[in-house]
Amino acid sequence: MRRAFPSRLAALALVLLGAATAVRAQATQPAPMQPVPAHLRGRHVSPTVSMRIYVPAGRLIIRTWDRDSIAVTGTHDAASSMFGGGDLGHVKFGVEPLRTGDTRLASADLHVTVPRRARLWLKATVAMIDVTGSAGELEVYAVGGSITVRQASGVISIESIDAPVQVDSVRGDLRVRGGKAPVVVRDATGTASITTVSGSVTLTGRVPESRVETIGGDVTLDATQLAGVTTEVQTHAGAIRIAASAKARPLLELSSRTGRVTTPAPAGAAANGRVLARSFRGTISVTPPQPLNSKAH
Amino acid sequence: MTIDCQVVARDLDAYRDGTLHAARCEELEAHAAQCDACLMQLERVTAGMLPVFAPTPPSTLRDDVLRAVAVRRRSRRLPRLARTAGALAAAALLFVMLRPTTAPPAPTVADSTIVAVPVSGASSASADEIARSEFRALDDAARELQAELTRTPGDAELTALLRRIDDQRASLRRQVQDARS
Repeated sequence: MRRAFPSRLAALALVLLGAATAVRAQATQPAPMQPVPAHLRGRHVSPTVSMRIYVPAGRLIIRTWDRDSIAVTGTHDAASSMFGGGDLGHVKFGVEPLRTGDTRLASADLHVTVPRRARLWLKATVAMIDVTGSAGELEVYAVGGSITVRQASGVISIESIDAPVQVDSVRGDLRVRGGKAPVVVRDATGTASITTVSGSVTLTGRVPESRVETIGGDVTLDATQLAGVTTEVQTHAGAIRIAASAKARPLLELSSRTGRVTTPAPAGAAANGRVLARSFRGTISVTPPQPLNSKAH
Repeated sequence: MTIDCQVVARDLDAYRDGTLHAARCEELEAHAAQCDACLMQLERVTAGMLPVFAPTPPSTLRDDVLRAVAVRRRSRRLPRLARTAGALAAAALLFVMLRPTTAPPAPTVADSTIVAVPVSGASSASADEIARSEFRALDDAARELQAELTRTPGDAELTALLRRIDDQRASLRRQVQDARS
């Protein structure tokens, strides 16, 4: 009985030691962070509300509706918090690190529904951005991740260093400034200005009145639906591939300073559109349309 | 001394439990030997009884008990509540001292209905690293064009190309700066 008290102390010490070991083990092994729900439903705004949304990492999905309100659902990670505010005409929100000085990217997975004619300004560092159906001004900025815009109209401006850009079924004024990631534009009407450094550019389906510039990126142009449209392509070292059918071959003006130009005769007619392709040392080739489709993505 | 049936009935439980004095037990058994009713009751209450082992207590039992009581009194000087509180405080202190001081793991968003893109280790600093190869490509292209321009001075097309490369470099620089902010 006399030894009971010291043995209890020893047991307590063992328990504490065990707890300390467990805590240390927890410190060395990353614990899964639980997502935190984020909800904002039915906030009344102007139909042309100007919105600024900032999601550094994760996913941002934008959908539109014919209502004068916005809705936000989704989650953000436990180390981040939502911020935001605004009025009828201006709304700003996003996620930021919970702790000041936390250099990690705040992460969220947000599904945002906005008025169709809302003016959107979206910024991310490394996130998947997906916009469908916007009819107002759209500006998207991202370093990495991916950017997808579908069925949109109006002025669409996309800037990315390393995020692949995919634009599908848009009309209006499209501006894309890319870096090393590929840019794919399908079925666009209106005007387009696309610039990359080493990223490839692919224009398929209906091609807008466009100007494409790359340094090392290859450019693939589907020139089968160019009627009434002029497309200018310029590269430094990137190859230019033009897919044109024999029946509706556009007027082709091709030149490469030191690269090889392969073009079948005849050169085509202006009624079928016009392609001005120049390269410093990249090759330029005109091919039947079939192989182009397989290289579209 | 003889006992009657009422006394037997009163002492039966004590007899069964073995707490009845030995002399009374003999009296009870003697009465039952002559009284059928009491014998029946005695047999009924003792039916199924097992012989009881009565251990002999050790000679040091008294001293041991007294010593144990003394130890218990000493241990009670630190109340149980205080000991519990102390242990909890120590555990809390250990937790605070040993809790993870390194940054928590990179956030991963997961939801049953919306599948998120996992992001690991991404930071604004990576924009510089990502853009580095692009700046290099622009520099290489500019060098190439300048070398060509020295061979064909005044070439308007080369000059325009160089200007566009400068524009792209400025645009890329601005994007990196935006990413930093």
